[in-house]
Amino acid sequence: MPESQHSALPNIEIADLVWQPAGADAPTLDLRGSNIHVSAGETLMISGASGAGKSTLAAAIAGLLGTLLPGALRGTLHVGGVDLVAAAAEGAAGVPRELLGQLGFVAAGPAPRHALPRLLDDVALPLESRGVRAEFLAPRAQAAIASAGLPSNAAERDVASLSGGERAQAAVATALVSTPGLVIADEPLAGLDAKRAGALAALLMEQRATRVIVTHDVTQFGAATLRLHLDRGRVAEAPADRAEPPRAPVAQLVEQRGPVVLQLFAAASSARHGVGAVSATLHAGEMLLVRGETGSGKSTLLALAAGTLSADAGVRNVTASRIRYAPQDPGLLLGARSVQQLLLPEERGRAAEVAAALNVADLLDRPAARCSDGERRRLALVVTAAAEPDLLIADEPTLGLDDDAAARVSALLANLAVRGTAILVATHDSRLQVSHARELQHPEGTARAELLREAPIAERGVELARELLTPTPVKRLLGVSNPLTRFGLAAFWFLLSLISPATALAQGAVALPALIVAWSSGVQLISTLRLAAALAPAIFGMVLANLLGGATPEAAFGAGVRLLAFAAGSLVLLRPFEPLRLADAAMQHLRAPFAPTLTLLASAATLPPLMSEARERRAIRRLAKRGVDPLLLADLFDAAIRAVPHLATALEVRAVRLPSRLQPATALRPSRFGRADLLLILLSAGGLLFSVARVVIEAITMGS
Amino acid sequence: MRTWSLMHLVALSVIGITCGALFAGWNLIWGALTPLFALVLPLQYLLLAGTWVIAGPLAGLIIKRRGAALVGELIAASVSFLLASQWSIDALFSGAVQGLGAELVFALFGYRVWGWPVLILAGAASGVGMALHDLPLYFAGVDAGYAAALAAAMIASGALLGGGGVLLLHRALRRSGALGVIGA
Repeated sequence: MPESQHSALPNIEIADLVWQPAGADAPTLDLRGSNIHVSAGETLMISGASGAGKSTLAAAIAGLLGTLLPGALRGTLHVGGVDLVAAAAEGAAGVPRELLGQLGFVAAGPAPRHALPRLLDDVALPLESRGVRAEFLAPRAQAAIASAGLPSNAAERDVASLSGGERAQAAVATALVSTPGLVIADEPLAGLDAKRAGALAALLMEQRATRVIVTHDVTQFGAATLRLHLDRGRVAEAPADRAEPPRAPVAQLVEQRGPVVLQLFAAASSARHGVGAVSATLHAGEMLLVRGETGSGKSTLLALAAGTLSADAGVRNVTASRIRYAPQDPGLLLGARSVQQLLLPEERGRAAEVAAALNVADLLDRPAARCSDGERRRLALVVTAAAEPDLLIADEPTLGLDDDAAARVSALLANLAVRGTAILVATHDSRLQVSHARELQHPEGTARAELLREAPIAERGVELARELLTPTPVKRLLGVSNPLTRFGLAAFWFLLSLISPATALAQGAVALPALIVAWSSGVQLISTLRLAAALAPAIFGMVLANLLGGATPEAAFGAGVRLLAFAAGSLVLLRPFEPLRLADAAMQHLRAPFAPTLTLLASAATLPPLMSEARERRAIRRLAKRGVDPLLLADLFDAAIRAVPHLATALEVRAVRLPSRLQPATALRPSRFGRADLLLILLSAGGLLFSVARVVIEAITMGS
Repeated sequence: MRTWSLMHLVALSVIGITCGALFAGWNLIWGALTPLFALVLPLQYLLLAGTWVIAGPLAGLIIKRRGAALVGELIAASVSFLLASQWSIDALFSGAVQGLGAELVFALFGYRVWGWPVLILAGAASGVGMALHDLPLYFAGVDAGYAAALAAAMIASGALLGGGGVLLLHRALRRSGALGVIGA
C-alpha cells in the first residue's frame, strides 16, 4: 500500500445526498438541493445543533454508510473519485479499498472508539494493516502519541484507563499515524481543556490532507475554507460568529449556605490509578463547578461523591438522602430503555417539566438507544432532576451540546440550586457559568501524585500465597512460554485422558503429571481456586449420579477422575492467558486470517470493560433504588450489541480488511518459542512415560 | 448467499463472547449444584443444561447467515474454556456438536425461516448434540433407562431454554432497538 504523501489528495463531491438508516421511518440526513464541493487539500467544517446529522454526514464521506452501517444512501457522493453511493448500492462489505488506504477517521466520543486494549497496539494497528515494516511500527506509533499531546508513559496504558480527554487525544493519534490523505474528525476536541484543545486543533490543521471536521464550536479551528451548518438533517444558514462564548441566562443564585450535604476528605480509590486523594465540601442549595485539566481525575471525584466508586482511603460523609448521578456516558444511567420506563410514577410530572425546559419533551417514550448522544445527555439530566434530589451530580452535562442546549442546561441546574438542591458538576465547558456558583480548580500537582498506601495484612497474605503457588523464579529464568505450546499440551493431556480407560487408576496417572506440568507453566492462583471450588462438588455429584444410574463403582470413580484429568490439562493453558499473545501466535504460526482474528481479539477485549460497566451501571441504578432488574440479562446483551457498530467502525477505519494475512515482517509483537516451551514439552514427555509405566506395572502385578 | 461485513463478524464475536462469559458463570453454578441434584440428575439437566446451548440459536437468529450458529457456539465454548472450565478442552467439543445441531436445523430451512418452531427445533437439536457427546463420555456405565431419561432431559432443556429462552431474549433486544443498530 503506497503511503499517501506520494499520491494526490482526494476531493469531495456531494449533491442531493439522502441517508435513511435501516429500521428508521424517515431520513436522518436530507441534503436534497444542496451541492458541496471540497477541493483537494481544503477543509470542510460541519457545525450544527446536536442531532442535526453532523456525524451522519461525516460517516457518509468516510464511506461507512450503506457499506458497514446498514441503510439506504441516495444522491451523489464521490470521494477521491470513488462513487460511494454506487458502492453502497452494490452491497460492498465495507469502505471501498481505494478510499480505506488513505482514510484517517476520528469517531465521535464518548462511546469507545479504540479497537485494541493497549494504546501502543491500537495506534500501531493502522500501520500494521498497511504493511509498514516492523522496525518502524513502534517508533511511528510513539511519535503519533507524543504529537497528540499524551505523556510518554501513556503508550503502555490501557485505553480504557485513560480519562475522557486523553481518549480524545488517543483517537486523533490513531487517525493521523498513517499520514492519511483524507482526515475526517467528529468532535475531536470534546472533553479537552482549552490548552490541549488548541494544540490538538493545530495538529489536525497542519496535516497535508483534505479535511472534514465536525464541531459545535467552529472558532476553535481558525479559518476554514468551507463551512456547512446543518439543522435537523438539512443545510441551514449558519448563525453569525460570536466573539466570545455566550453567557447562560440564569436565575441568580442567592448567597445561601444550607446544611452540609456532602463532605469528602482525602478520599481516594485504588481502582483509579494516578489520581490523588480529593477533598470537597458541598452545602444544600450550593453549586460547585469542578474544572481542571484533562485526566486530572474530575470524573473520579464525582464517582467518589456519588458513592458509585467506593473510597478505600479517606472519609466520605453524606447527609443527603436522595443522590442522583448523571455519568459522563449517559448510557450507563439510561441503558436501552426509554426515560418513562426509568421514572417512578410520582416523578412523571416533574420529568415532563424538565424535559420541556431542555427541549427533549418528545423523546421521553423513545428507547434511549435510538437517541443521539446530545439527546441522551439531556435525557439523563431529566431522569436525575425528576427525582428532586438533595444532591445532583453531573459529569460534563453540556459535552457536545450546541449553545442553545448548553444554556438550557445551565438554567436548569441554577434553578435546581435555587430550590435547595446541592449540585456538583465537572466540566471543561466555559459556557457553563452560573453566578455565585463556586468553582474548584482541580490542581494538577496533587491530583497527579501517586497514592502511597500501606497494603493491608490480608492483601499481603494473598500476595505471599500467590508467590508460593506461582513459580516466579522459574518463569524469570526461562521466560514465558508460547500460548500455542500450552494449547498443544492441553490438547495432548486431554486426548491422553480420552483414550485412557475410564478407571480411577488410569485417569489418575494422567491427572498427576498434567498437574505438575501445569504448575511449571505457572498456574494462576485465582483461576485454580475457582476451578477447584467448581470441581470438588462436580466430581462428587458425577460419581454419585453414575452410581445411581447403575454404573459399577469402578466406572463411576473413573468418570469422576477423568473430570479431574480434564481440568488438569486445562490448567496447562490457563496461566498467562493473554488474548493478544494467543492471537499473535495464531496469526504468525498458524496463518490465521488477519481481520477475523483481530475482530475476535477486539471483541474479547471488550469483555472486562463490559463487566466493569455492568457493575458501574448497577451502582448508578442502585442510587435510583430501582431494585433487582429482571431485564439485567437483556441489558447485558443490549450493551454488548450496541457496542458492535462502534467496534466495527474502529476496526474498519484501522483498515484491518486491507491485508488478508499478516506478513511476518509487519508484526508489532513477534511470537517466538523459547526455553520455557522446551521445558514444558520435556516435562510432558516425562509425564507420559510415568503414566505408561504406572499402567504397565499395575498390569504386571495384576497378572502375577 | 448474503455477504459477511465486518459488522457481522464483530456482532458474531461479541454475541459469542458474551454468551461465553455467561457460560463460565454457569459452569460454577452447575458444579456447585451437582451434589444437590445427584439423586435426580435428569432434573438438573432439564432445568439448567439448556443455558449452554443458547449461543448457537441466538447467533443464528440475529445474524441469519451460514455458519453463524456453529461459530457462535464455538466462540462461546472457547471463552468458557479459557475462563477456566471444569470440562477443559472438552468444552470445545461440546460447543461444536451443540452448535452443529442448531446449524443443521437452520440449514434445513435454507436460512430463510426464523419463526418460533424453527427456533424450538434448533434448541432441541443442540440438546441432541449434547446427549450424543455427554452420554458416552461421562455416563458410559449407566443403565439404558437412566441414559434415556438424561437424553430426554437434555433435548427438552435445549428446546425450552435454547429455543424459547432465545426467542424471549431476541424479542427484548428488538424492542430496545439494539438489533436495529446492526441492521439485524
